[in-house]
Amino acid sequence: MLQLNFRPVELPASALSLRQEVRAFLRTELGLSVRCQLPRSWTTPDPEFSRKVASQGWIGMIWPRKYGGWERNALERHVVMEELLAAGAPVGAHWISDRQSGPQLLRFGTEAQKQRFLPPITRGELYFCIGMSEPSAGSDLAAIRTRAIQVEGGWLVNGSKIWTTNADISHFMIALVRTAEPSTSRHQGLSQFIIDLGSPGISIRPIKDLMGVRQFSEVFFNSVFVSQDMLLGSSGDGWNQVTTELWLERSGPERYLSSYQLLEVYGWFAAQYPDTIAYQTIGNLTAQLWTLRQMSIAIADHAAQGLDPSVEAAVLKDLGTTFEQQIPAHIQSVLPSEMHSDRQKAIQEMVNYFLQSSPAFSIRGGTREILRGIIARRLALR
Amino acid sequence: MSAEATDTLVGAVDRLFEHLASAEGPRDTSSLNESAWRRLEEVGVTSLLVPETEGGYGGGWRDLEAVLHSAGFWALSLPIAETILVRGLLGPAGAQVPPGAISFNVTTDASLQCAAEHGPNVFTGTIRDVPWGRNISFVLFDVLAERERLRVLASTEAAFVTASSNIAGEPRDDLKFVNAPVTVINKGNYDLMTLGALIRVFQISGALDYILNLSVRYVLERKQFGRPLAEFQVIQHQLAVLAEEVAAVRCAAMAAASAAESGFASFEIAAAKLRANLAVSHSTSIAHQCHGAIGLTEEYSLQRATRRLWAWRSEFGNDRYWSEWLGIEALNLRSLTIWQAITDRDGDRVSPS
Repeated sequence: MLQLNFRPVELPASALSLRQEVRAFLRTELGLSVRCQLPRSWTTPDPEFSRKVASQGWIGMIWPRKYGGWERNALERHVVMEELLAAGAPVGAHWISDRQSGPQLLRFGTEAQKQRFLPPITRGELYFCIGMSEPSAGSDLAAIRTRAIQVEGGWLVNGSKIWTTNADISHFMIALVRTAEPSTSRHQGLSQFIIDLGSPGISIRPIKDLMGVRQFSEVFFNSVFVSQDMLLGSSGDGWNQVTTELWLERSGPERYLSSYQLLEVYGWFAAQYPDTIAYQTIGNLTAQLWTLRQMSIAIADHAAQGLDPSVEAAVLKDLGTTFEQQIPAHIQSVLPSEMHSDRQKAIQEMVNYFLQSSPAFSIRGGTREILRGIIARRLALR
Repeated sequence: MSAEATDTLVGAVDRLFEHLASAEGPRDTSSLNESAWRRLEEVGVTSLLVPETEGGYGGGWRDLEAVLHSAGFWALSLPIAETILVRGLLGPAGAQVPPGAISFNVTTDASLQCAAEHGPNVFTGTIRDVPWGRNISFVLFDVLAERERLRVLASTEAAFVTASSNIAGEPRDDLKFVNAPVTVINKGNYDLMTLGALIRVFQISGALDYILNLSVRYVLERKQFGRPLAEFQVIQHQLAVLAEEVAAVRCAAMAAASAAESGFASFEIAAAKLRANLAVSHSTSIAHQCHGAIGLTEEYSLQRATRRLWAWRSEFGNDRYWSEWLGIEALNLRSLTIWQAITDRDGDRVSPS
């Protein structure tokens, strides 16, 4: 029988006490009033908040102590992450660094790179962004055209990246770049570089999204010099490296909690004006959320044991983002037509926000179509 | 049971279930297959939840999940799930476990009267849609008695049986009792609606797994336009979606089983049943669509699974029932938020750190 591994796991007691710590921290830092404002979430950067999170020991939680990490376990980390996300905390500045850039450095970086970059990441001071998509290469990542040619002491990079979330507040980018022509496979000849976004020749142009928010940017490289010691991993091994990075990007609780805030606010509304439709709507969404969370915890445990959960991560991301999109659509469909109080207007505003932000959920970090292709491969269909 | 013991048992029953399923006709018969039932009793799987000291396997909810996943996968037309469950409930309730197949259901409109102060309890009423009601000697049910819900075990000897079946042809019979003496037993942690939902989750999970495997095999073999259906992207993506649903329901089933060990898992069981229900429509559509016309025949095995899935979605709580239950539970004032309602329950089940 075809088996995907989603064996649920029970949380350790240490994770439960951590959860209470995080909740207490959030009550102090964010208060309850924030919940009715437009949800800030994991893409929203707030450097001051990131530093506070860091001082609690919640960045680099599972990294080695010698790099500033805390050597906690994956389930403890999962609990902390999900509490921050469920609260809509503004973790955007450090999120990518913690989730994938740091682990990528741990896996493929030199000792010097780890010593240089990991400790400030764990202090919430250093922020990375992701350099993958380009105007002509989105889902087809191997079609990237940004090139690096070898020069004395390093490389010269020319090209551009696009849809780079928070590039404008980031210090470094881990960029996938072509360093050699492919011979037998177009996956050959790719490499990853750690690029200082303050380098001469780099310009960053934020793009307004359909809500008028500038959350992602185009980044242009005009003969940007990158020193040899900023090559990440092996030259030509970029495709394998990026594949690893992608499952890190896909499997976290942010893949089903992006619009949870709206469900929570609707829950308060329903508690005040309860009816059958409200109960059923909440019950339906709660059952899905409960299941997604169990799957996510299973993946965290699976990965912690050194197993490869990349297909499971694709499953979770597809189901999770569909769920995230359902929340505003469902709630919009069941709200009473007469909404006058301030609280009711706040819900309407939140519905409007998530209706507009939801198309992104199933596009970013790997489109739904790509994910389904990955799952189909595991089913031996391709 | 140890993990190894579970694996051994599940491996054995899986082969047995496959064998028994292959001997079944395409349209389920209305009588219990006695020789098949005897094989199950010989293996002892029907006493899975009975303690070892009483001759059973001493298994728990997780073991039940594994066994019923297999039973659901092979779509056996036998009251295995019901018998295992009821035998598991009777012992701890201090009741004698009768031999043979046994079943249960919930009833909302019947009531129990006590005939005399020290006399036997006497029941008049109808238990509807009892799984395999016509084939069993005893039935377990929860009933209202003077504003209190009681659990009752009744012999079916004097019951009037009205035979009926669900969409899959599984017997679902009404049992009418008039002044029948019954035994009241200890109710335990969970009501029968919740327990019924739990076993159906396990079976639904198995049947979904079956239709995924069958569909994948079919599209790899079937050729049109000069190539296997599996090479068409639309088919690949449809089956990927089916695989996602199968994975989600299996995870939910296992998580509900784990939670049930704690004795306080009504929330998890409700969530799992609802999640399983939500998977049925889309999953059965995909499986049928990928099969084309051959999947519409009685002869091909797809319908044995899909008709059960459609039936089981409604048994022991459809979407409306559990979504309303869960919505009320999630808005319970003990938790400030839905998130807390879900996560604070982790505290009931903690592994040593």
